Amino acid sequence: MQNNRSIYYQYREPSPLRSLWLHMNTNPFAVAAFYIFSFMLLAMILSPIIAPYSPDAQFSDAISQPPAWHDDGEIRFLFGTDDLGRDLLSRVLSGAVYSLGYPLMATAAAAFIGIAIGAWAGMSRGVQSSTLNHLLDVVLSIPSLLLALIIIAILGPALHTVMIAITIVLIPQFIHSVHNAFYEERNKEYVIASKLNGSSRWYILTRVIFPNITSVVVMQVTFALSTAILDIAALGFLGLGVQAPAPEWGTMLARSLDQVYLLPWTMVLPGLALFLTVLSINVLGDSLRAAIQERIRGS
Amino acid sequence: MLRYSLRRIVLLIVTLWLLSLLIFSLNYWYPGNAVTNMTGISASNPLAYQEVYVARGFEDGIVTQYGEFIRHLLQGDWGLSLVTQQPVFAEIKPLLGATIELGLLAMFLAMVLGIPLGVYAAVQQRGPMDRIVMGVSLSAYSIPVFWLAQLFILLFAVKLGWSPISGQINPLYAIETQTGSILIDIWLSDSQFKTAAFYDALNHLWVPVIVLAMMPLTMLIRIMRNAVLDVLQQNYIKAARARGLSDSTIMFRHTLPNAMQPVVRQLGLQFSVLMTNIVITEVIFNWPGLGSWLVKSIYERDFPVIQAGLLILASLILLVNLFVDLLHAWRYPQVRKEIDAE
Amino acid sequence: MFKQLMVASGTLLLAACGPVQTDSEVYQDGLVYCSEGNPEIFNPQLVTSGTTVDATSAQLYDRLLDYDAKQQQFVPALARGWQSFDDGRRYRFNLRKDVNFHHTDWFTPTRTFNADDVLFSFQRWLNEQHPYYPVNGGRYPFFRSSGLIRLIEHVEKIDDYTVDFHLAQSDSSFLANVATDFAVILSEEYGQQLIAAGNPEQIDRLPVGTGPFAFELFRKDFVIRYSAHKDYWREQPEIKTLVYVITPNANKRMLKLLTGECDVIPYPLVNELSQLDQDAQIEVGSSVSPNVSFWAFNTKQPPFDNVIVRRALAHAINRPAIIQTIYSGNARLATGMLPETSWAYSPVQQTYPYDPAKARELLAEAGFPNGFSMDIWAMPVQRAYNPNAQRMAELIQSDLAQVGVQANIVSYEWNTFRQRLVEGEHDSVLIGWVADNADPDNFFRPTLSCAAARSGNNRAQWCNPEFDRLLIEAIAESDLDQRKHLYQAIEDFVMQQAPLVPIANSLRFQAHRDDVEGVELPPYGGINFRYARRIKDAPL
Repeated sequence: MQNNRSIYYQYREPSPLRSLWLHMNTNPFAVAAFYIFSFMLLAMILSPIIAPYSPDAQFSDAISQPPAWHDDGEIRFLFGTDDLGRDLLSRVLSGAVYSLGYPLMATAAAAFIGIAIGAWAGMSRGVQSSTLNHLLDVVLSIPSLLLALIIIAILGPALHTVMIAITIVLIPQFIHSVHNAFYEERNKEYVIASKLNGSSRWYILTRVIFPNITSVVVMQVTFALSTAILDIAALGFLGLGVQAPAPEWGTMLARSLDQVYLLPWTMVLPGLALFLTVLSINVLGDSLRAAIQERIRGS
Repeated sequence: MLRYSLRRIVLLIVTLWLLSLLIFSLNYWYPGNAVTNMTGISASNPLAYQEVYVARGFEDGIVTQYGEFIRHLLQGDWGLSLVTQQPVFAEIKPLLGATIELGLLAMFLAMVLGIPLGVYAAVQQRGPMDRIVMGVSLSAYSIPVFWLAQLFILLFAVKLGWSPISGQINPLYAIETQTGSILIDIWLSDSQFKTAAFYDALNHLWVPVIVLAMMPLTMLIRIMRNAVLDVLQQNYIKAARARGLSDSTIMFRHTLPNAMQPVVRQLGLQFSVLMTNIVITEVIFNWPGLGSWLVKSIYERDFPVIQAGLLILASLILLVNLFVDLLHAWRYPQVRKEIDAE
Repeated sequence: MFKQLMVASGTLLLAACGPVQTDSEVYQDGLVYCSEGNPEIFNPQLVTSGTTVDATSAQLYDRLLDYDAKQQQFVPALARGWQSFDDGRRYRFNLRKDVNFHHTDWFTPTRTFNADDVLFSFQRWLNEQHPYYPVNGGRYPFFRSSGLIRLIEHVEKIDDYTVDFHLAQSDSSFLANVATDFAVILSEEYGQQLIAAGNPEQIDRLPVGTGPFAFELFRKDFVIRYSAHKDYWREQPEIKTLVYVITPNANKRMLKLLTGECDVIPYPLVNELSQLDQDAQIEVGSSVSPNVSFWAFNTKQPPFDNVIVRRALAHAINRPAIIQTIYSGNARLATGMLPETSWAYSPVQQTYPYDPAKARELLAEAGFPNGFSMDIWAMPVQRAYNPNAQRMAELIQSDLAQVGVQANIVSYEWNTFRQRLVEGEHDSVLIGWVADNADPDNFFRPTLSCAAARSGNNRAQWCNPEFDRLLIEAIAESDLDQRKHLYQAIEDFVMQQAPLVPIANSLRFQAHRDDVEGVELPPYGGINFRYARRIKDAPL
């Protein structure tokens, strides 16, 4: 970690997060993934401004236009239009809100709840904790999509029920990883030292242990996010998620299948957007994991 | 080992009990009438309704109802489908057979390709081939399974004509459904076109199997690569090198058996992933298995079927996890100590 | 352990990639029809859905008489002939002898078809005391909404091969209704056996009929299998095995036709028809189908009980654009319920042109200046009259947004969808109607009358005594010109009240591999495989 080039030698141990960041910067794939993901995020946030048209606007004079680089394409519809004459670029951009924005929200909500419960469970000991652990192991072995399907069977398919389902489904993963991380950290010397200093439980929880498990949390967030994106898209694809005509990528994909022979671009584009987003998140998560391993090995 | 096994089995029983509680409460959470959701008999048929109302303990409290629920469950009386009014339990066997056949074949394929590729990537660590294998596996891991399935159908079935689009077998072969697993059914059948039917079934199988194997395959490659790298850094490998053993002996006698440990541990998780994807794959390939059955029952709001689908899929996953855990503990005794000591 | 697995999977893969031999005998004698959905039950008496009719009526059963669309006349079937007496208030049918019922695993007939079977089949839905009346729901929607249930007073057996039908009044549509796909003949002997066995429900689930194909097996969502009826009283069907593969997805159906997994498919995607036509191995057939697709409002539900709101919505949607987009021009804009092909049709000017400004004005007049929010139910399946209701709903949704009405699109699995429609849970629905017979009455009575509202088939839940009076007046009239005039008045009335907005009259399409011929699409619904055959010399 010889990153300090100032004249005065002063070595400062970077924080766990910062050291991860430094490590990831050495991996070109991770950097690329980071830029792709940031681009997707930016596109999502700015989609109402940068989308050329409303995602639901139908241009009856431009039905089934191929993308602009095709001979029959028009420059005003860069990615072409679908069979109802809706601009595909606008739809994919606006779809990012459903396919990236909502998973982000679900992940954030699940992280908040899951970390709180996980930290509480990690700090307590004995039967309570071991029971929870076993239970979680079991719950986690049931696929998240299956649980989401059941919740949707109860509530009916709609945007808000999908959000509820995905959030609920993600919570156990957070509890599990945070709980395990706490469990490992809480008997380490530095925590005991802090305890001997008479710090309160709250202080130990938030200021002593938590900074040391942020890397685990970040990794879990990337994992949960890719799960959430894929699950929401899969539900949309099965017709049990966000309902058409909302430009959710999975729903768009399912719809595009009717014309896949004539309008292949309506199938390729949402799928590609989905693939790139998930890939960038997975690459980020993967390099995080590698960085964490490296750090543990190094220490 | 015995202690560990017992402990693990008790845990399974507790879990199954919790699962039954969950499924029991689902009956009350689903829209509509709990008796109908449980039995598939609607109140518009007053005679039969009254009968099941009493039989399911609805005249008494919730505890009796739960007791009756478990009793009926164990007796194989899982109610009637709301749509077809046919007993749900009788439908399960062929569906389970079809799902397991698809899942097992995909798992085999994933292991057969994933383990050698993982080892290969580890041996070539940081070499170009390692990068390629890992890059491809990470990309393949990120492809949504429904998109992949559609692309494969378009490529292999429509463009190239190498395989049919969906289904288990050409229905003109009158193969009687007994186990649900098409290959076994053909073998059991007395059709005069057995060989042709067998080839036709294989021809239907390979695309869904590859689609399904993709995700566990990519994960296995990564797990295997990391495991081999870990083992290669161990002192006993260095010691073996120092003793002058050949590379292949080190690999096959010392590295691989130890590197398999995390792979075996992860098999249960891989199976869960596989089951998620099997739901979607079955829908796309019209595979007559549990996954497509469950999804259709959700479309049709057929609550007795939804419950049965959930129960069977979840129990299957739990059982496989138990099996993998026991196998793991039996094969790698050092793990048992860790678990027992907790 | 892993090594063995490796070897096992290796062989599997090799085997899968090797040359696939097909046993041509299996393919030559069989036919695969990729149908669009599950039949609800195997007896068309109990339902009106086209999917069920396609799967049962012409395959498993026969009727007393058939309608020959080419010659536009009734032809003998199980009845060799018929006469009418008493000014058309009594019909006598002479029955055919030596007609065999299916011999199946679950039923062995000991006698051939006779008058008891006719009585049984008609009494089942005519007589509420009949032991089979309540079996499997006992709704009989076609007979109820067509009025046949009240028209036939009783059926009388004269001798073993002669039956008399006594009618309440003379009715010009009686023969047409008896020749529909719904008036099938069941086996009385089978019915008795099932009663004795205490299992009457089985009659509609393991069916027995006299038709050209015998039922073998049904796996919901996957397959129905029929085998040729060996002792069929007409010419034997050429194909030995008929398989319905249930393929709800229109795109998958078309792709499976391209790969040869399906021999015949219904409702090919109109958008891709041109593409299909270029492929030399596939033939697309179209036939004129007396149908109309419409957007019906649930008139029991506010605000749709207000006629001004209904008219406003009719003005709000751009129907010519729908015809262009959804039907790719393969349909005519409907001006009323009756299609152009009906003899009672007369050209009228379109009363609800696309006019969003007018729509907004009317909405304000009805007390909704800011619009409201409503549900559009869109069918999950393709029908002859509507190839893609979901997309149509999306078009309508965006049209409605222009006038401030916020629409949600609702859809369920097809059988659930129709059940919920019958219960009137919808605000509005995109659906349609295919006529069961050539009589114009069939376009109005089963869809909009009070009787239809009671049986749930009236998608608008609309019951207007004035309308019913006009219908009765028209059906009692025997002079064609006069009747045509009356139906025009009915059209005007419907237009003015707007319980529904007619959208399109469409052609009915079917596509098949070019080595298959003889698949018949009778204009009044159903599909007939009796004459289907494979051209032997065609390369597979």
